[in-house]
Amino acid sequence: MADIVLTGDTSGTITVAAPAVAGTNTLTLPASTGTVATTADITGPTFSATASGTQSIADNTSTKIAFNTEVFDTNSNYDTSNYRFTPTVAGYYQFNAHVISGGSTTTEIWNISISKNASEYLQGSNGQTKFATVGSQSNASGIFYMNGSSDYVEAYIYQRSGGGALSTQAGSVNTSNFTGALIRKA
Amino acid sequence: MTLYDKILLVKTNLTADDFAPDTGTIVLQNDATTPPSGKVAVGNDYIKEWNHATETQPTQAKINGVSE
Repeated sequence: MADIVLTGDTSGTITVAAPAVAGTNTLTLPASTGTVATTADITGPTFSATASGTQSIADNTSTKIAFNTEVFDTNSNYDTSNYRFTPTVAGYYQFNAHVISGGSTTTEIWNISISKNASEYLQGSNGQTKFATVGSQSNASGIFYMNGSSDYVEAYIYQRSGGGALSTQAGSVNTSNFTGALIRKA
Repeated sequence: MTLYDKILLVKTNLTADDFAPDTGTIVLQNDATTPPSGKVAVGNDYIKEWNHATETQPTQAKINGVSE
């Protein structure tokens, strides 16, 4: 069977309708200035990384979290050597970061943040705990514009416990993760 | 002993609030790698910003002089 080619003129629409057995289904093509999305438009860079082990965080020192293990990285844009995501497709990205501390009886601040190009861009929730067996949790989530070439993001954690270094919990996706996905092209 | 601990020993007027996110005037950072050249540091911890109104930033020599 030969291909069916539908060609529109400069105005109006072309409708492809299914048989009206269970109602009418209509496919509406965009105006001549629009484009039909392809799989390339909806399968942008997406990553998830976790930390494979604990990490010592000094008191009152913003410390980059060593998310050193990829869960997935669809476009090879996450670097496990510097814990940095540098997407190669320009657009708007949703980023999420989450990390749990080890237990502490004196944790007043446990605060994750996401930095863009080495400057803090988004501060997350503040976790506190006064139990030696219960960790603090902090989450950060937001939408960032990334230029698709030089822009990068990283996650940092700040803690104040007054008792020296505090550790992140041993890594797994449910205790520490850093994720991001393209949600809209530029 | 961390950079933060050493700073508090040489700058006894400072408190934890001076290092707090948003409201503090001093930023200590650790990028999980060697600190940028010229920064006062202990290990990978370094002074990223020092904007305190009255206390001057300690030198590397002063920090190095704090006994463990």
